Amino acid sequence: MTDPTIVFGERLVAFLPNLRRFAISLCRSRDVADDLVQAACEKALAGSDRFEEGTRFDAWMFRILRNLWIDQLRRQKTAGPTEEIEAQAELAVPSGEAGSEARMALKSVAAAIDGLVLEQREVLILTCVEELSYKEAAEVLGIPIGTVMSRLARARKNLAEATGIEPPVARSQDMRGGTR
Amino acid sequence: MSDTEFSDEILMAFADGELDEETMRRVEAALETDDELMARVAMFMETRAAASEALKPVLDEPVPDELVAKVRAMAAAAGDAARAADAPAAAGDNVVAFRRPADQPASPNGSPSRFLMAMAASLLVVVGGAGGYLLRGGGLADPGGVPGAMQVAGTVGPALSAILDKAASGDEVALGEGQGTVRLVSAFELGSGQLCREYELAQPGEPGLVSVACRKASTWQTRLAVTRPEGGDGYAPASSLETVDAFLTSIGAGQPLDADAEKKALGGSK
Repeated sequence: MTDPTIVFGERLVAFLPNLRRFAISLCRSRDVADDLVQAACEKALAGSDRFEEGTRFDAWMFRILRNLWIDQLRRQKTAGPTEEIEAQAELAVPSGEAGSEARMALKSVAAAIDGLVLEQREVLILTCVEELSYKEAAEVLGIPIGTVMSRLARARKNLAEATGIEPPVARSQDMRGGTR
Repeated sequence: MSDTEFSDEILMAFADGELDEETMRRVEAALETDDELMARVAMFMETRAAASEALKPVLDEPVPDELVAKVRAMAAAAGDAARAADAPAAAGDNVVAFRRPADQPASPNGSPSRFLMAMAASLLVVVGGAGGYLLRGGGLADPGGVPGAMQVAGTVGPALSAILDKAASGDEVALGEGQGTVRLVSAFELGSGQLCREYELAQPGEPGLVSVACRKASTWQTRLAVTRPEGGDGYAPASSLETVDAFLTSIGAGQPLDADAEKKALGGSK
């Protein structure tokens, strides 16, 4: 018989790349992210019996990690004026990769995501990158779905603007003479 | 009924496949005639694809061995502790289970817009009309390709218009001095009776485009053009034709006209 905790641990290990990516996008620092991932795993293992089979493991882990990060930010805020730990574009593709134009384009999108405020960044990552539904993202973040949607829409408009993705034409009156 | 008053959130939810069936149909119906609305939807589709693509490389980074080792060690220790105490540790205070009803599919509604799915998967979509809009798949398109692509958005130029007015489907016609060729695919009518043509455009130095243009008061308007980048890596391109197909369905295109009907329609009321 396999030890369920070991099984859970392996599941966690398999999920590390995604968890780490989410952490990096939150902290914008790989070193800080790795510590955060470790802390989240510790917490998850301690509470592994609370994970319900049939529910989304990724959402469960994202929530644990994100709560730890928010706690950490709060502590930093009360401890001193440090707001953002690192403002570098840590999400950007490491240099040394073939500098094709496609790579450059990716880099600029990653940098633009890095430039978003945390509340927009996290909702963007959860939905557009990790493919959680609005509802699942709302549960991870502990906010209403409506808030997820308004933050996400703003995040994407900002991203479009920052990366030169064609901005939508400003909304205008219906020119075709329809009623309202 | 006019549906120009869709909020950003609604259009975003449409782009994300999160709308309920009824609202989704309403947006789809509005998209048939509203290019500006299409541009707004396209922005949300593109930003999603761009974000996903941009952060993909981070997934491929090796997780530091040290981190993996620590997690394994913690798992083993947690197993020991659990056996020893046979009681859950108290650390997981804010660990809340996520309930997903068994009957809830991954996608919030069972029948996502086929047009939307195809469009989302396509790598380059130009939606023509007044708000000619370029959707670059995942923000990947070489910006150098934009001017060429933009030429096909909106009103079709005179040379191409003349071809669309006359050439029979199946024909391949040169656009003129080194301008590439047009291959006429089909002619068909919308529910409204408006004549449209699907054609392929091959221009030197540009990615090939599959286009749909419709004729309104003697003027051909590009409604859609799709392409796929050459040699895009790691991002599986969906069939451009599938996108066109889905688009045609969404705008209520009829079956392709046969040769006689086509001739008649082309020669008819311009």
